[in-house]
Amino acid sequence: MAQPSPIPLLFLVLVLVLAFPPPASPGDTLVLGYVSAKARKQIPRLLPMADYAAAGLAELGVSAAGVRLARDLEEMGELLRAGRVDWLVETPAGAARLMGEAGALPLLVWGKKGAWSYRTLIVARRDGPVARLADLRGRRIAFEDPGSTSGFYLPLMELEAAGLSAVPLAEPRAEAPRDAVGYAFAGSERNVVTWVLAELAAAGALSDGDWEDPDRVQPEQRAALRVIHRSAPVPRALVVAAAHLDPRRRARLAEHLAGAAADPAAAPALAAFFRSAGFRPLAEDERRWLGELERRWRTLGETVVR
Amino acid sequence: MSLRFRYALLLAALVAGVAVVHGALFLVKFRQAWGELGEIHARLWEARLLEGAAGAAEGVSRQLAESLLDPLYFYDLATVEEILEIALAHPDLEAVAVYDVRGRPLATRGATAPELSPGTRAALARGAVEVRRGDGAVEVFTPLRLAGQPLGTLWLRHGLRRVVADIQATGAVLAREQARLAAELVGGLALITVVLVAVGILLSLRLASFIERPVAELRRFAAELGRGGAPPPLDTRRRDEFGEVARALEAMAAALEERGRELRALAFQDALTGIPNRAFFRRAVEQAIKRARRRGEALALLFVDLDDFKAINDLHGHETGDQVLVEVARRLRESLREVDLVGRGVELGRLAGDEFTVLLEGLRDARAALAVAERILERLGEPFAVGDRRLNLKASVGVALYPQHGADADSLLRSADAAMYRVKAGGKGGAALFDEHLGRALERDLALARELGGAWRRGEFELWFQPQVELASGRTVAVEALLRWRHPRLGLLSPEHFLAALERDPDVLATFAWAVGEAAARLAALGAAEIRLALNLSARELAQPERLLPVLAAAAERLGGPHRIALECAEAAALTVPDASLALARLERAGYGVWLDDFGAGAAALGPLLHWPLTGVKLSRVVVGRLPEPSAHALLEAAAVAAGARGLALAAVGVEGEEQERTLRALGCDLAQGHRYGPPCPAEALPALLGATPPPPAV
Repeated sequence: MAQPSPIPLLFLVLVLVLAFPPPASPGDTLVLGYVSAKARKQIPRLLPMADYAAAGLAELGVSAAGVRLARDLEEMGELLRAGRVDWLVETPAGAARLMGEAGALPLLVWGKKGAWSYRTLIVARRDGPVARLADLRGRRIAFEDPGSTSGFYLPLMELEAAGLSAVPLAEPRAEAPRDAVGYAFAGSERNVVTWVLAELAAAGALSDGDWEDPDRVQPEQRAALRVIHRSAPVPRALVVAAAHLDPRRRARLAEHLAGAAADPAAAPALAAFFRSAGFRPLAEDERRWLGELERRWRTLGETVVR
Repeated sequence: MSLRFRYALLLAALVAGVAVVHGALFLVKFRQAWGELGEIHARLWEARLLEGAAGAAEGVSRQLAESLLDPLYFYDLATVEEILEIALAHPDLEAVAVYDVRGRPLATRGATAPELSPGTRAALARGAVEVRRGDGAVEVFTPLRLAGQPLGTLWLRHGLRRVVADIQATGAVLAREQARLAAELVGGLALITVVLVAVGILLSLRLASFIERPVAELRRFAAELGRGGAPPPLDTRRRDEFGEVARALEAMAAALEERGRELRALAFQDALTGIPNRAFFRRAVEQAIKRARRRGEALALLFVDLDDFKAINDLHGHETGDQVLVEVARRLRESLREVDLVGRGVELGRLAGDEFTVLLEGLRDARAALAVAERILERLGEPFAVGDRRLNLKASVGVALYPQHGADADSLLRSADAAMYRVKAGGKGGAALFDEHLGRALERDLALARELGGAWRRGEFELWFQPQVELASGRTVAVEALLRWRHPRLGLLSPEHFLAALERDPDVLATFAWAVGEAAARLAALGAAEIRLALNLSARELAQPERLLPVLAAAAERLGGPHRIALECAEAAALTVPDASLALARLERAGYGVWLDDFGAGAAALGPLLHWPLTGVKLSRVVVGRLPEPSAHALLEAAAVAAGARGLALAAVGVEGEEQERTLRALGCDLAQGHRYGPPCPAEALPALLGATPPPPAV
């Protein structure tokens, strides 16, 4: 009984390998994530930018682009952890949370709607007793919502930086502690203004963009208010990479996107992508601030009810 | 029915027929077209509605798909089911379902979701919407895709219940409309038909009268032409057929007028003398009477008759007679010119033979008329030179006046005629005015003439007999049959009263035939073999020998031969018959005795006596009655000489006395007749007259 020759077997294996190539790995599709429940509305805005990004990574084995929506940050965190989303754009607060929850890495500053940065303003009635942050001690301040950067984290950090401690109130009319500032969520920037004018709150926090927007703050409302504090500018939005994204691909993505503003081919994608001004690298102080923001998120995790 | 109405009726019927047929065809076509239209409409409408339903179903499906994208993206099936629930509220949506990417139903409402066929899945995979039109519903399969990525499939069933109801409702509306329109059309068509027929009748009546008027004109023209009047003028300028007929009629009228003139010339003019004939003269008298009546004037009619003119014809021949007549006419014309009649209507006429008439208008009185008559007589009294002969003529003139002696032409002519006869009776050669007595006699004659018609058929005629005696022996050798009229009112009339009327009676020959037969029968019944039967012949009878001969033959046979019949023709009557001698010759050859009767009462012409074929001559009672006057005696003597020369027998009538008989004997007269030998007696007395016993009456 002769030993069978191994040549035919090898040939068969070769043929099978050639005939049935291994399925493309998930990494070969670069998936852009976004937090929104309006999939039908948002996905068309995202797709061109997803394609543009994937195209930049073609030499690194990326052959397709994808978009994945999550209804909230929690779901997005799960998607990042599951490796279903490779990169995404978020507000600083959102980014900080995902950095904390899913190990996401801040990559670039995103010029959403043409704005690279913004500030938070603390406003009070012009005829009211509050003129300085210190005047807020023992009084109530209205924040927007617990996920908002300019409407919650930033003013909270500004109050703490000014030596004031802020404590959440069980309901908007609850008395603030004598030595602290009590805060409550009004739900929207317009409601923040309304609360202040109605003296439900001694002051309110909102972004400078909203303050300037007459659709959100009417001129007569603004006339009745005064800005008692103005924060330093912070990035408007950020590009975040998933922890699982290959470092080379991550670096290449950052490089590719940072050049988009100068790339005419990117113009349609940028215009569709929330009228983006483009992307730029994070400055060191911005990175530091983000780290601080992440820490603040961690400490708030227990106190803020979502 | 008139042409007009027939025409109108025909046209109306035609119009009505066309209208009805047209209407019926129209209605049928309308129904057909409407039916087709309805079908097409229904088909189009149905297709449109179904298409609309399919479109609506697709639209609903598209909207539904849009709203389903977000919940499906996040696998929010509760929201998906909520949306489907809301969608099912749509009245046409019967069922709806959402499948996942693999084709498994995720949510279903209304009915069980159908299995997705491979074909459908393939179409869906291409992103195509699949629409299925089923029975009573439209099914739509819509791919649910977000930015090119398949999320699943939406299925819905869109019911057509409402669409079908709409289609049926539309069909019902169409059918109702058709019925209403058809009814309206029938009404409208009926109205149109009625109006058309009415208009047709009116138009055709108008058209017919358009034709009828010229026809009536032509008819009037022709009728007037036929009456001989002046026809109304015709419109000969018309360019149509009526114009042609009118022109032809006008031409015909002109030709008729021309012919009429010629005919009138022939009809109203005496060919011989060139003066108006009886017909024309009569008309002239009528017109003159009208004029006289209108003007209240008098009128005179002169009847001129030449005395004994027949004798001239007989003695000298007709040619001479004609020449005399021409000369008479000329002299009449002349004499009328000579009389002062300027400015008055004068007309001359020749009635017949030697009878002339003169019409004088505007006369003052009878004397004036008589003066004209005297002048005429004077002119006619001058000798006539005909060839190398000189002839002397006399004439008798009767005068009648309008209005005293006759109201019309005929009565005036009769009156003048009667007056003329009185002159003749009074010895001729003169003029006389009609008088009342004459008028009454004339009236009686006229009345008798009227009553005479049918007298024979009524059995009013009787036969009387008078014996003729042979002078030599004194024996009765013949009886003369005499006609008597037993008039119901006037009693027994002798022929002189009614002979003139009888001569004009169309039944005269029948009466004669009866009289001859009756006389022969009476005489034969007596068996008197030697007695001859003498019969009087009138001019009418003599003029028709071929009708006379059979009647005589029958009588002769009964009596045993023609020799037993003696035919007596009055001289005056015989002279009026143109071919009297020829007729008499035929009778004589047939074996009858032929006698010239009443010789000497009129012309006493010797010509006939010398030349005519005669058996004998009967001397007139007028002459015999004048005996023993020398003139009468001389006449008788001449006659006797002439008769003797020819060997003719001689007879005398009206012998009453012995002296007369002696004279007649002396003259050699053979036969005598008169009261001396026996008056006329009725037929019943005939046996006694002949001394024979009458035979027993036939059983």
